[in-house]
Amino acid sequence: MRKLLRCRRGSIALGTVVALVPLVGALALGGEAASWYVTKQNAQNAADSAAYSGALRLACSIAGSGTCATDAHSVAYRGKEFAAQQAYCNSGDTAYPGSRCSTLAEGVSQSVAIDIGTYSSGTWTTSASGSYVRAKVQQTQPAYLTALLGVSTINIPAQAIAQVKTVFKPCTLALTGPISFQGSPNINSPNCGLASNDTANNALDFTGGGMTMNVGSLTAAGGCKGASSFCSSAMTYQPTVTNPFAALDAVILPSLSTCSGNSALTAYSAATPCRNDNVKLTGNSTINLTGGVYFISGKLTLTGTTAIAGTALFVLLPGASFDMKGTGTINVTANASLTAAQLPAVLRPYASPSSSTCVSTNTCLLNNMVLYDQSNVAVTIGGNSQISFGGDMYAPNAAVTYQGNPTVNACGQLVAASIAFNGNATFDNSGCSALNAPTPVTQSVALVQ
Amino acid sequence: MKQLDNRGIAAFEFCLVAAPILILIFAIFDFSRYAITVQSLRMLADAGARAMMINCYTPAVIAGSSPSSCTSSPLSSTAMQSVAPFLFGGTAGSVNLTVSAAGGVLTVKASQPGFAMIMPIWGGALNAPTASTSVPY
Repeated sequence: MRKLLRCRRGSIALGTVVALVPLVGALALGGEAASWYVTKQNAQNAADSAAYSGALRLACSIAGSGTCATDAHSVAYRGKEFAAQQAYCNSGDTAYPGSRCSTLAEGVSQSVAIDIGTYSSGTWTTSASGSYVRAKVQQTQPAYLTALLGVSTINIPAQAIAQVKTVFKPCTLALTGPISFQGSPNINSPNCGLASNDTANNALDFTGGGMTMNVGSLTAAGGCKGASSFCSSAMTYQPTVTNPFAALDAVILPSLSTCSGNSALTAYSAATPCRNDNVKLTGNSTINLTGGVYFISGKLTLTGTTAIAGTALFVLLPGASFDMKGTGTINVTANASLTAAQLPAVLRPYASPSSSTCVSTNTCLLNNMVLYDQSNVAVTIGGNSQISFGGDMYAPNAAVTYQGNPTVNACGQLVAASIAFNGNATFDNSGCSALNAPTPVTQSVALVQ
Repeated sequence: MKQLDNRGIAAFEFCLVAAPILILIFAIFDFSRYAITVQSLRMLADAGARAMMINCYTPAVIAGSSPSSCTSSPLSSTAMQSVAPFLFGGTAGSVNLTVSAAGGVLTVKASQPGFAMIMPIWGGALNAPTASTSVPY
């Protein structure tokens, strides 16, 4: 034993061991501190996706009934779901689709909190009616080696706030296709916007650069193609806009018999519950309509100088179309006071004041409607078509084109499958600040903090 | 000649290795300090890029226009301090976060010009570290 103590061999090794303790310790401290950064980065990712998805859900709530009525889950659920997909969950709250939360290490805990509220100049106020969603994600873990430095627990918080912005309500909405602009159309609609629910990269498609654009907003679920001078003001890759007239799609019209005679238009009534099938108007005079509802099937043909004017609601049944053979015109505006007797029973709930169920403009869909086109035949307005409508136009299956040099002063909305503005169309509804029909809501969701 | 004993050999050996081992130990400490600084700067650049995405990714930027309004530091000094606490409180001086836009890329660059290695063995190669994150526009 004494010999061992006196032996000096290996003393350098011993010294190295002693030196290695602080050495490796310092390295481990650096490693632990770096792991906090990694955790922080992950927590920030979780908070970002939680706030963003929560805000998308909130956008649905703010937009009201429509596309989001089917989402049974709350804003908080959607936020926590996406935090869970980034492996951040509240204790025991892990049953989300795609959740990557697993059993945490001893002493590690996580929390995820989703709030709705308002956020202004750096201050958060929780409020159920707010349009902001805040996600707070935190991981608390014990200090390992840093415990030697007197640290007991490490809190790693991350926060993100996303905002639901409501932009101009669109009065022109393309449901499935693009809104395209060609030639030199002059679009003048400062009080409302143009929106496309098309998700393609040319949802807004500008060909050439001669357009004059004065629109409240230009939004699309997809991208914008063409001159950057136009695209730069567009809001692209936005949430889709709720179709304000979607309720009409669920209405199943009764099968109507053909009206007697096919040389005049017959309005729908209790005595004449019929459709105008392949009607050909040839009188070379102007037919003044007085607020009737006309169901059209087949081809509505106008020859010579025959013209249609006045107020009416045209319902184009599947396959129906206009055929302008002469130089006559169709220049019709909506009838704002339809009566129950003018409509089949299934449509009465959508017209005021005939029905007690139609109490707000959100359900009185037919109040300012002039054209309800169920057909998928393309409709051309203006230009050589000599067709002009004043009021709401709903053509969920048809491509609508504004052509030639029409000045369309329609105080209403156009909702169609796709919309093209060609030639020198002037689309002006600047006088219509208060649209007397349901207006779709366009929203934009973005992180703000 | 009297046979030399081997007393003092440990002290002699220690003299031989002391200098290299001490240099090595302090070099590791010094390099660790550098590593945590660079890691902090990366974190800061990432946080700056995130703030840039939030505040400056306007439709105009997405459409390819130069984000001319986004050239100042995207984070306040308090925010920078909470993101990368290791950079502050030491003697290495101020931390800079700058943004530049060129060729369709926004570059967020974090730097600490006052940071210098303590050991002279590094030369000036590791002084004033920077880290940057690029975001396309």
